[in-house]
Amino acid sequence: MTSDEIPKEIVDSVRSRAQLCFGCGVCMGGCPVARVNEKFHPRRLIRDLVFGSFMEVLRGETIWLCAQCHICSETCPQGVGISEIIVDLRNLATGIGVSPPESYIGNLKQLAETGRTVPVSSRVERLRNRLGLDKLGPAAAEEIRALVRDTKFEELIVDKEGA
Amino acid sequence: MKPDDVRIGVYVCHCGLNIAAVVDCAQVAEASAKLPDVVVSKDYRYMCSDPGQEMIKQDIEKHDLNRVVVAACSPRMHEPTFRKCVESGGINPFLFEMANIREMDSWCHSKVPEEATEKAKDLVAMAVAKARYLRPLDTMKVPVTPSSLVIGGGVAGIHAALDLADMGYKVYLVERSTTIGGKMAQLDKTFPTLDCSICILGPKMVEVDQHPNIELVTNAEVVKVDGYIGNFHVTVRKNPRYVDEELCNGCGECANVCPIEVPNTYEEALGPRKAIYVQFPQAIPMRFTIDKDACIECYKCVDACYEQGRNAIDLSMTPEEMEFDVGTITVATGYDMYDPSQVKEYGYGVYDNVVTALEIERMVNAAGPTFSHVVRPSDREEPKTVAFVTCVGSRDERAQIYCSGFCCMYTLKNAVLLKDHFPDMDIYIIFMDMRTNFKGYEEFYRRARKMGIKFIRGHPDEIFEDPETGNLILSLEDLSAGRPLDLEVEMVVLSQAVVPSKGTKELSQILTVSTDSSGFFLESHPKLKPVDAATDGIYFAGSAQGPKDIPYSVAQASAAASRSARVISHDEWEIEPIIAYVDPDKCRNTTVKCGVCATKCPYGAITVVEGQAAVVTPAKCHGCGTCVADCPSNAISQQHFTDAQIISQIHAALEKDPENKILGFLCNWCSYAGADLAGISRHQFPPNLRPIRVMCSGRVKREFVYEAFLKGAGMVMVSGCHFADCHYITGNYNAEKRIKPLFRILERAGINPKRFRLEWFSAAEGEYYARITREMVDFMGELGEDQIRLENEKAGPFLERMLNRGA
Repeated sequence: MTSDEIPKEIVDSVRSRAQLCFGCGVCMGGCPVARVNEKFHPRRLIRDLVFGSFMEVLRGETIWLCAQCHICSETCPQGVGISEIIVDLRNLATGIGVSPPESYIGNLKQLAETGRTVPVSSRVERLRNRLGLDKLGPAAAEEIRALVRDTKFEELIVDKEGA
Repeated sequence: MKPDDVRIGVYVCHCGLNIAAVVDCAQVAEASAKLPDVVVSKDYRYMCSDPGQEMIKQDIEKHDLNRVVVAACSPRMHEPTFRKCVESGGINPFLFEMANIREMDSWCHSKVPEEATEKAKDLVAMAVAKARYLRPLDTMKVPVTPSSLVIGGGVAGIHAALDLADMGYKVYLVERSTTIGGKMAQLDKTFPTLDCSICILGPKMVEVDQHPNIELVTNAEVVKVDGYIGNFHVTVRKNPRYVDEELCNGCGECANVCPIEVPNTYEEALGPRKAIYVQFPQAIPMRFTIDKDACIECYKCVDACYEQGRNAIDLSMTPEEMEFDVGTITVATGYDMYDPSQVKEYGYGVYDNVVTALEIERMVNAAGPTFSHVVRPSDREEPKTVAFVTCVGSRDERAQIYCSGFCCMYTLKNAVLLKDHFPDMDIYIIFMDMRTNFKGYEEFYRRARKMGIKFIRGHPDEIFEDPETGNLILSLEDLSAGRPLDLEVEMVVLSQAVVPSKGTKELSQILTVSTDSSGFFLESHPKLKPVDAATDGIYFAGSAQGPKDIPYSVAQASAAASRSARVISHDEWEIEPIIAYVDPDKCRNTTVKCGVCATKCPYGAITVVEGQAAVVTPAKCHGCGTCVADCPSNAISQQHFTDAQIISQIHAALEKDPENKILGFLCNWCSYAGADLAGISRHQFPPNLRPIRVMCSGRVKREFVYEAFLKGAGMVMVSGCHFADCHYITGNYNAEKRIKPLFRILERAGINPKRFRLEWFSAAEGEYYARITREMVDFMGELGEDQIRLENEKAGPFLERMLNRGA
C-alpha cells in the first residue's frame, strides 16, 4: 500500500483532532518518555500532523516511542486526545505495511510469543509479593498469537527480521 | 377570512453577496410574481438601505399596494425597520411580513445553491400566504413607571444606579450581600494604573448611600418579578440582619465584645471575623449583621449596644418582603471566582502553598489579614520564589472553555505588586497566551518584564509538592525552548477563571431571560443589542453577561442606564398588539362552565365570569397564544398569529414535494433564535426544514400538526425553549402537555412516531438545531419517500376526522 491509499477521511479525522491544539505544551510537561528520550516530543508530533507530512509521521519512529500512559489525554485542556491519536497512527502505519522500528521488534516478538511485552522476572515477582499484589497468572498467549496472526501483524515482525 | 382586494409587493434582498452568492434572487423574485395577489416582485442589493426602502414606499403608491413582503434577513433583525418603512409609505405596519432567506437559508445551505433557491421560493410563498390574511393592527400604548431596579451592587450596579439616579429617576438598588462594593471592594489595586481599588470605589459607594433618588436594599434578594416593559412589579426578600438598620450607627462595640470568631469570607478566609460583623471598614451601609450560623446567642452584643444607648440588636428578626413597581430592570449580578480544586492537577486545597489570585490580593493589601506581608500558608515565611499560573479553569475543556478575559491583566498586576513590595523575590508568570488588549495594557506587560518578572510560555501538566520543604514543583514544557522543565518555587498563585455568580440560573428564571452556553446572561444581539435582554425592558451590566474588567463593566453600566432611560423617560411605551382576543359568540362559557383559557394564562390576563364569555385584558396579555391553542371551542384567536395565517403558511410550505420537507414550528425567543444562530454560525445542514415562527410553542395546536401530515409533510417538528426558560413562564409546559400525546395518536393513525419531533433548545444552541435537522433528514432518507406517502395516505381519513372534530 502507498500513502495515496490512506483514505482522506481518515487523515482528516486525525488532523481535525490535532487542529484543536493551541500549543500550551501540557502534554510535553507531563510526558514521562520525553523526560528520558528527547526524540519523543508529543506537542511536535501533533504539530507535524497539522503542518508537516502525514506520511512522514506514519513512517517515523516517534509514534512507537509513546508509552501509552495517557497522561497527556487526561490533562490536555483542549481534549486533543494525543495518546488516542497515536494509537490510530500506529494502526494506520501497520495497515500500510510500515514495520515498527527495530528497537521495538524485540518487545513485539515477546508479545507474540508469550502474550507479554515484558518478561516476568523473579525480581518482579518478589516486588509484587512485597507490595501485597497477587501472583501474575499466565497471559492469554494463545489468543494474542491468534490476533497477531489474523491481523497479519506477524508478517511485519518477521519481514523485519528477514530483511 | 382573507380580506378582499389584496395587493402584495414582494422584495427579495441580495444582502450584498450574503444572500445572492447562494440564492438566485432574480429567480426567486420571478417565481414570487406568480403567487396569488402579488402585483409587483423585485430583487435588489440592499433592501434595508435608503434606496431600498424608498423603492418600497414608491411602489406602495405606484401599485396601490396594501401588503408588503420582504425576503431578507431574520425578522429578529430588520422587521422593525421595514414596519417603519411601510408605515411611512402609508400602510399599517402589521401588513408587513418577512421571509428569512439569510440566517435560515443562504448562510446555512451555502453549498447547495439550487436547493437553497428552491427553499427561498418556499419561504417567500409562505410569507405571501400569511400576508394575504394579515389585518391592520393598532399599536398598544402602556403607561410607564418612571423608576428602575438595579440588581447587584458591585461596580457595574453602582454605576448604573448612579447614572439613572443622576438623571432624576428613582432607583432601587438590591444587593444580596450585607454591603455594596462587590468584587472590586476586595481588590488591592487596579490595573494598569495601580490606583487603590477601595480609594476609587469608596466615594462611589458613599454617593449611592447618600443619593436622594436611590433606595438601597442590602442583604436582600429579588424573589419575584411580574409584568412587562414599563410595568414590572418586583418582590424582594430582605433577609434579617438581626440589627436594626435605623438604630445601628456602626460603632462596633458589639463586635468588640463578641466571643465568636469565624473565617472572614471577605478576606478569602485568611483571617477571622466576629459573629457580629461588617465585611470591611468602608462597608455601605455601615451597619452590623449577625451571622446566625455562628452566633451562640450570649447576648453580650445586646448589652454592649444597650450601653451605647442604641438598643439596635434584635435576635428575633425575620425575613421581610417588600414590593415595588419599576419601568425597567438592570441585572448587574457579577461573577464568582472558579474553585481551582475542581481540577486536581493544580493541587489547590491539597498543598498549602498553592493559593488563589484573590488570596494573594488580600495578602498584598495593607488592610488585609497579613498587613501586606505575603507569606506561605505552610510556615508563615515570606517566599523567595513565586510562580503565577494563568488560565486555571479557563480555556480548558475540563472546566470553562471560554477565556475569562481579564486574568492575564490581574496576574500581571499581582506580580508587579509583589515585585514592587519585595524586589528580591523571584517571580515567574507561566502563561499560554498573554492577552493585553485595550488601553495601557500592553505597556503594563512591558513594565512587568522590565521589572525583572520572568515569563515562561507554557502550562503545568501537574503541580507536585516536596513534602520536606513545602516547595512546589511545576512540570511543564518551556515552549520557547521546546524542552521539558521542572520549575521549583516556594509558592504558587493560581489565576482562576471567572464563572457566573451563584444564583444566575435562578434569577434568569425569575426574570424569564436566557443564559448562554457558559451560564452567563444572554444578550439580545451580540453586536447591536449587547446590553439588552431578549425581554424588553431588562438590561445587563458588567460580568453578569460575561467576564469583564472594571472599565468595561462601568462603560456597560452607563450603556444599560441609558437603555433604561430611553424607556422610563416616556410617559407611555408602545408594545406590540399581538395579543389574544375572545369571540364572545363562540365562547362556550356562556352555556357551560369552562374557563380553560384562564387556567392556561400565566399572567392572569383572562377573566372568566360564570355564564359570560371570557374577556382578555389587553395590557396584561403578553401574546404567547397558549390560551388560543387550548380553547376547546376555538373561540380565542391571537392577533398577527391567527389560525388562518398559520394554516396558510403550512399549505404554502407543503405545496410542492411535501414528502421531502420538514415543517417546523419555532418559538420566537429560543428555538427561532437558535435556528438563526445556526445560520449566523454558518453551520451547514440540508435545507429540508420549512420554519413557521410563532411567539411561543404554547401557540401550536394539534390541528396544525394534523394539517401538515394531511398535506403530505415528511416530518413535523414543534420546538420551544427549555423548561423554566419559557419567555411566557409556562407556555412550553402547556405545549408539552398538549403536544406529547400526539406521538401515540399519530402512531395509531399509522404514522411512524419518529416522523414527529418535540424539541427544546435555546437561543444559544445553533449547533443543536443543525444536528437535529441533519438527523431528521437522515431519518426521512431511511424511510424513503414512498413509505412516507403510504403512511400519509393511510392516515388521511383519520387526520380529516380529527380536523373536523376540532373545527
